[in-house]
Amino acid sequence: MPFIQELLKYRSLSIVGLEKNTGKTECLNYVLDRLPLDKIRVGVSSIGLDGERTDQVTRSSKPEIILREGVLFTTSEKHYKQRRIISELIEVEDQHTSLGRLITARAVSSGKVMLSGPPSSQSLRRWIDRLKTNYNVDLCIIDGALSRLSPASPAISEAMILATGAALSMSINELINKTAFTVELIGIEKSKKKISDLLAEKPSGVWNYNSLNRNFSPLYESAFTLEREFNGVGNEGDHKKSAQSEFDTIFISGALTDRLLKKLSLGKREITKEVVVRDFTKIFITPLTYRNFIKRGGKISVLQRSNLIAVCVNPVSPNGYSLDSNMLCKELEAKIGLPVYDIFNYN
Amino acid sequence: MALRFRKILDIPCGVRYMYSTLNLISPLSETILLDNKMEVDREKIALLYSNLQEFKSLMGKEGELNFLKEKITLHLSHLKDIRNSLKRISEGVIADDIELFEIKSLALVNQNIKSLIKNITIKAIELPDLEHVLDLLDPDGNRITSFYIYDSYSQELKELREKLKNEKSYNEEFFYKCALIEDKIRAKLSKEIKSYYSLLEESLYNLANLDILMAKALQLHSLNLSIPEISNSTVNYKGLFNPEVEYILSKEGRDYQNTDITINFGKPLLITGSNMGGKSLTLKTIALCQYLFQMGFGIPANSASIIPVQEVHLSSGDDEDYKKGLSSFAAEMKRIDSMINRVSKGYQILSLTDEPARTTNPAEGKALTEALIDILVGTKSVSIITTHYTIENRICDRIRVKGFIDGKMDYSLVEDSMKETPAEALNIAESLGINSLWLDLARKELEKNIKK
Repeated sequence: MPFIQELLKYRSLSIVGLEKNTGKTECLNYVLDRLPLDKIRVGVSSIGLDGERTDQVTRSSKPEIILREGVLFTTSEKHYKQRRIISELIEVEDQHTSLGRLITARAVSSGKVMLSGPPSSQSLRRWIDRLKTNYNVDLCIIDGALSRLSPASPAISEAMILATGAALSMSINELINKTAFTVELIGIEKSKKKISDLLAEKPSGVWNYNSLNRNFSPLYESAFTLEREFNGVGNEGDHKKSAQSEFDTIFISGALTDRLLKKLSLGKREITKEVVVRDFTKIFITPLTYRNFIKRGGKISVLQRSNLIAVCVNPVSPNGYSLDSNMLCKELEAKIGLPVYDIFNYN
Repeated sequence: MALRFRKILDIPCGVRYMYSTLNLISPLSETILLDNKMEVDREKIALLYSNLQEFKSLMGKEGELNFLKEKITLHLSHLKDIRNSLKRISEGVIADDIELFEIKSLALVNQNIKSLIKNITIKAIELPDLEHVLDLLDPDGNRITSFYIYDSYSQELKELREKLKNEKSYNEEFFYKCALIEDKIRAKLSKEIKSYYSLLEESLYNLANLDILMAKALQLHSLNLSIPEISNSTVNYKGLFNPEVEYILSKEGRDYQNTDITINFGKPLLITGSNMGGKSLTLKTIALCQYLFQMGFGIPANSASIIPVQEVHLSSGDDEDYKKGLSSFAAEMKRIDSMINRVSKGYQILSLTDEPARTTNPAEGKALTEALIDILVGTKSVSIITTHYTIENRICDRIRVKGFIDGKMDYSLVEDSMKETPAEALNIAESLGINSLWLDLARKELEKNIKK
């Protein structure tokens, strides 16, 4: 049974799909179906809305999330009322989401639910902590998506499973390249430099940082308004000339874009500064820019990193087109050096 | 229209600070407190304070409730605002699992606290017995905060669910059958709970009141507040202080000087004295105390006796009048005008006017101030007016700030027999380090005038 034993080592797991209809829910069901519930307690929730009965875009029917007895789940008030499972309600949260308050319950029978969960990374982290301390949950599973624009990042989980498939691209080559690049980004190493808490909590901006004396100074207000440099913050003018060279790191609180990366490496033969982002979901650069940057000695690292455990593929696209499953798995495995499974074969 | 606490918070006299130091546990208590009206009725205020007095001794060092503080706090933290759910059930709507869960949680909190305080006599709080509601929603007697339609509600449901569990794959038909029975049980439960509606509501308000009274009593101790007397003819504060300003000063390592003040009903009190003598702060603090008094809070003074009023009129110069498109003079005139309107209609009011007509020429300003005193004499008002003008031959009490003595400000208020207002502005400006060229010239001007 692939990768289930591996999961028992972790406290939290997120399952993310590269695109809609890449078999993420199938993958989640596969995991939920095989986890040894007699040994560990499991909790499930989602980033934003998930578990629609029919696909909201293509109107094709979608698999539902199936829970077994004993699993804890958190969903919104609206979806709790629509559940098709016998479950014991154990907590109603005060915090409101767009679909009502968050409800945590324990499955008494097996059945089907729609999941919608904490809307931000912080509340997601709180959710994991609460389930651990209040209900002794050993493994928290987060159903998440990369394509979905969500302020919550699945990267806060310790482990990750990536779902990809024909829905992303119908050409095997492109599918493999796109998936391999995401895998590469997920694998970006955690920064060895200590980023001070003060900086890590900054909600926005691009910052110069000295990892030795933990000084930092603002560089740009945001990755999207590169022209406007900070003004009026501290003695920035003095900093500029004298201290520019002493910074060894650039910390980007928000998105790392193509434009920003190009600007940072502009006119430099060799890039000595390390670029640090929060996690891989904040990186929005093309493979070309990325390789160019790395080639010139640049280094990108993250504050938070999930261990990618496996990649699952769905060879069938929502419009009925099907790729050769065996070939796809083999080629992708060769390219990324990680086990690749066609969950539909196992299910 | 009665003034609610929510509105009072926005009046710039420091009520918000008092609210922020109030340590309420449940969000329900916050909502209920904010919706409370400012009490005008003497007896209701008396009741508020007899309750607070009771809690003051219960929460004191040797108080019986003090030892249970942590446990009660823990239970109160589970108290939620479920008034909407209760209302729905009272209207005959069938409750869903979430609502039933909420009611079960309330009943549990109620019963837990009830058993904690069963040996203590508390007059202010009476918790109803919700054991029967709990039995309804917890048929297995687990007494933990969780809920679903338990198997023990129906033998038929139990058998169906067992079948459902033994099915290998998900069985839509069994599930549907279960859901039908569950709905019937929910309808039955809702109907029974409906008959407990008034008890549940009583529990909700009493628990919130317990929270509020505990918080007020703790605030009494932490901020050194006192319980006031309700008075008829004079307002009297001994050792009056402003908690917010005291806190700010204490952070800078400075002391707050308490003051004493007495105001007679129907006879305006005129406060004169140098700049920076705390006159405006005194007015604001008295407005603060009046609101706290009529909301049943502890009063920031060593002792206080206060007359209940229907309205508080505070006219102070630092309002944001420009937003309304009024000049500072126009805004002030309008404020005083509305106060005069109310008092002439026979409303019992507290009227606090900080330096009326200060922004206009001294001759007219003085006349306006004198006329204001004449209007307020003999009305149903407690009034204070501060001024820098020299006011003569009026029926009013007079006090002044002791003022600048040996380079130090003495903020105490003393009786004033002098008709002249003290001229200390230049000395005070000097102590602030203001440009000496300017001040010396002003001094020369002043001497010239005196010689004339």
